[in-house]
Amino acid sequence: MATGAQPRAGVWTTRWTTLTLVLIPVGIAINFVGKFVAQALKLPLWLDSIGTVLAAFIAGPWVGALTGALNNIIYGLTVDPVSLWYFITSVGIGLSAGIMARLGFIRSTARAVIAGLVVALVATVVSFPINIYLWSGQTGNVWGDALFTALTLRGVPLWLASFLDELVVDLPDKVLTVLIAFGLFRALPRRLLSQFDLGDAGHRRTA
Amino acid sequence: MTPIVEVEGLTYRYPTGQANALENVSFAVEAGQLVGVVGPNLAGKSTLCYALLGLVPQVFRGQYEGRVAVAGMDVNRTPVHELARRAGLVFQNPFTQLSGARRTVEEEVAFGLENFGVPRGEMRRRVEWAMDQVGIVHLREKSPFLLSGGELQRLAIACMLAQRPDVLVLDEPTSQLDPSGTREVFDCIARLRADGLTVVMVEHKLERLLEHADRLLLLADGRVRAWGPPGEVLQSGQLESCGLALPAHIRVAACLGARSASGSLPLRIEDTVAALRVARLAAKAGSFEPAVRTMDTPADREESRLSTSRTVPRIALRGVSFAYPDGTRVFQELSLALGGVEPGAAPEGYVAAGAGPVALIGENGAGKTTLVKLIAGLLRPQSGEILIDGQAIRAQTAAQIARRVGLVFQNPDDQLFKSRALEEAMFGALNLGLSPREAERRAREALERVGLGSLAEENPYDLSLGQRKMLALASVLAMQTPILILDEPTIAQDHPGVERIGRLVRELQTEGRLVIVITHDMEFVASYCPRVVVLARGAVLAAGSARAVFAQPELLGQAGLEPPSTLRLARALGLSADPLTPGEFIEYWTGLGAGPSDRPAASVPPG
Amino acid sequence: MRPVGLYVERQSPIHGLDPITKLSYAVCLALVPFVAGDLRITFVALVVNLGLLVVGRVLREGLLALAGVGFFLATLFIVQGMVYPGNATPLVSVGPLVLYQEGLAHAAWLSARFINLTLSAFVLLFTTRPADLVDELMRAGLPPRVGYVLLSVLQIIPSMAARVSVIQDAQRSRGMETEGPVWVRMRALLPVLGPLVISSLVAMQERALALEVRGFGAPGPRTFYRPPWQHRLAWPVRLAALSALLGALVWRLAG
Repeated sequence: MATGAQPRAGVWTTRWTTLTLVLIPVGIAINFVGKFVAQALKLPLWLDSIGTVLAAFIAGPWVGALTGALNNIIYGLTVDPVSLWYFITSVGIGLSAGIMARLGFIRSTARAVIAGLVVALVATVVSFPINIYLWSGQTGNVWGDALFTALTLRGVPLWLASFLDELVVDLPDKVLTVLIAFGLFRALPRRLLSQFDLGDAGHRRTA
Repeated sequence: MTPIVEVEGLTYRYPTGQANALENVSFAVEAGQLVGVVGPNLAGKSTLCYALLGLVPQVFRGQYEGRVAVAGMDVNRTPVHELARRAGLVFQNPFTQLSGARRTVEEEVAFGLENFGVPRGEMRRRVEWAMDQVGIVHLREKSPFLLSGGELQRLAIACMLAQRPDVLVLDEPTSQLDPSGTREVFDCIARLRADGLTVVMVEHKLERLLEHADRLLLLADGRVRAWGPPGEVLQSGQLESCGLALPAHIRVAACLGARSASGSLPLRIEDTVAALRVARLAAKAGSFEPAVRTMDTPADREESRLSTSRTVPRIALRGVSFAYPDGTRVFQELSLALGGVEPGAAPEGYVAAGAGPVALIGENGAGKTTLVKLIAGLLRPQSGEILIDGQAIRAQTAAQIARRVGLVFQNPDDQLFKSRALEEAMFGALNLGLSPREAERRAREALERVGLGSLAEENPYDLSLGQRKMLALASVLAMQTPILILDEPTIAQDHPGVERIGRLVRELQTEGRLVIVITHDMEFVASYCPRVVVLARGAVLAAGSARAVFAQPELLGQAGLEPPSTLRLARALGLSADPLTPGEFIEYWTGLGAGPSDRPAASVPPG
Repeated sequence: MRPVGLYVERQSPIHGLDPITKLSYAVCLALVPFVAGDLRITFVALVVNLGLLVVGRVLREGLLALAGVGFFLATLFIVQGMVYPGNATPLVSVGPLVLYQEGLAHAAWLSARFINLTLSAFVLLFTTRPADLVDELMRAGLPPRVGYVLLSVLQIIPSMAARVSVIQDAQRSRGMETEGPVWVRMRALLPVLGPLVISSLVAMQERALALEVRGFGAPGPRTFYRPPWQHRLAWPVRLAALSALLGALVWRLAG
């Protein structure tokens, strides 16, 4: 019997099975619990998107986007209503993480850093208009808002100041998130990943 | 009448598999039968369960040949949800098979029926009936997440029953359960079978399985090695050649040539009792030598090889009181000495266990895990002192104490996170500050010792549960701590795995380490742990020689435990001796038959 | 095991109201300030929300939760006071930093909108079990698979959170430190997240199998074990909320 090879998935292919469906709540739960662990270890980190990114790595951009969207809906309906407004940010994170994975950017640590930068940029670009609408450009983060204030007082246009405010918040957090998700992805067993279409995200050293 | 399950030439390989998981498997099950599926780990038993429900090949894909028909439906051509209307599957892990989407037991049972679109009135009837069948009606309002293991498995059975299957398949349903949970599940299954349900059950607990099975299917390496009535399968010797062990009382009967009325090996302990009563057989030395050499030797016979007594106990608890933050009081003024101090020589107020590997036994909730967590510094007592090798551990962090006390948790999945088994085995050693080279050397050595040497490059989660438990053990072994505590190491292991752990326990003790084992497996205690500490509701009921403790049935009863089966056999026969293992039993029995002065020269060799 | 969410177990008229009605109310009332664009209307909405929190006997919990965002609101005032484009009239100065009246007024507007949004949601969240909300949504037509995803998240999160301390203990007993300076604690991140995430994903495979065997993929309409939630005020309240929203729109258009 010849062993069949897995067909190579494109960037957007998604295999919708019960397993893919079950991945979504686990991804959302990982988002919640990631933040919880950071708090339990008393680390000054946000880390609330690890699950979205990981789901995107495993099952592709559409699943990542769905995980992100439902994550904010659940978070918004149970803990913090404000996150409902930002669900498009989570969708953006899921999409970009999934695309970068399928393009082969999680095959090494160096590439993962690039993927992290891209995800951070996407998150920033999508979030800052919402910030402008809701809070005239602020983010609620001390460092970011201090920068925002300083820039605005110097005459920098609102949109740019707001963009940079958000970038200061998102860059370290999202890059770290992607790196952590990358570390976790690498430790996942074959028997799990073989049930998904990884496309070029599968980086397995020949085992 | 067509059999309700027909398997013909089933051959299957997983997509990532290097070899066939199942090879040319064929058998048929008649309605109303209970078929026990046995075999060593990785034999393909779970795969077979999946195949009966169509999960193989529909969900897992891979290469599939042969034919499987359940209730007349071909599993290859019928969608899984159709098959699920006629067949049910209960998994090994009580927890993960919950839907995770229902708040009460009652609603959980209804979940499948909601999916199938059953009208509400019918749903209510079926849910009531199913809960009643398994005896969980009193739990209907409880959250599934708060149930015990035995209750969870019965809930899983109820969920399947509500779907009114013709066949119920169970994959090692009791492997994660303690003795009382195991009893609950087996009793439940026996009742269902008495009502006419067809059952296919994968199990390691042969003694219990044989009380109910109509047929046995022995699988090893994906192939059928034996199939037929239990008596035949036992007689064929195939079980032993696959590395499995017959239940203790059957080994005794086989050795002594005792047979039940029909002339085959006795299946239940009562049958063995009857057979032995009928024929007081004198042993001919040569006839049972080979069999006896494989018999277990009681642990305390090994003691002469083990470390000698000390004056300072390895672990001492002085007046320790502990309660959980929610108020549950566990220990009150507990004083206990472990490792090295004989019961007679213990300081005033102490209960001491003595030298040799110690088994910590007692019901769930007695405080066993709490005790070892206190010793490892993961929990802090409200009052009292804990000393390791004479030194108080109060000021040290758990990570620091880990240099002296290695603790292997029951669930390896709470510890494993690296991408290669080797790195996992190195983790603890690296944390202790060893160089990567030294850590790797120790890790490889440890992997060899637990039998995972060839799997060093594998991802831990690609290994089976039993192998993962060995890996967690290896990672603690590599830390080379003077004290080692194992929490339920034999769960999910097959017989060779249990023996390997037992041998390891002995070796570690010979190296001078103190080994403490929390276990429910009394046969394991009898063979490998000369000392026990019996805990019940936070108090030490007894500590000292295992033999002495087993000889006190009231004591065991208080702790909710049962003695090893050879002891039960001896009791049932009214013998005055207390044999702990089959080897001892035979020794005693043949000594009986032949008279003390005529003891055969070839007595049981020690070890 | 703490369930996810803000739900407070209590008896009250609001608790007895069905989840969909409360959801409709929350959405409408939250949007009123955004639609009306007027601070006075916002205050009216705020008062209504506070009133309902009182009726629902969850005012104390609501205000406590609101206190959590006090810091953020303070920063709104400070920053907008300094940088709001329409700043012209100074009000307070602290050293070189000047806070302007217009900015502070704008911050007041933003804050009021935000507080109203939060309180509207609280009327729903503090009085409704998340699982009940999802069940009713499914009855109203939410696809059962989506419903399943939402419900299982609510259960999985507490059980995963409960495992964190177990895993921490297990890793500490292998020599991993969780106390000390930041970089020491950072190194504990993967050893704690790792087993949690990986074993959850691996367990998920088995959960998916169990679901298959429980008819999860079955076609055809789904039935419900529990009877539908009915309340006589359901439609009146929904209509009232919708009218409020339409009223706000009219107000905006009328200038």
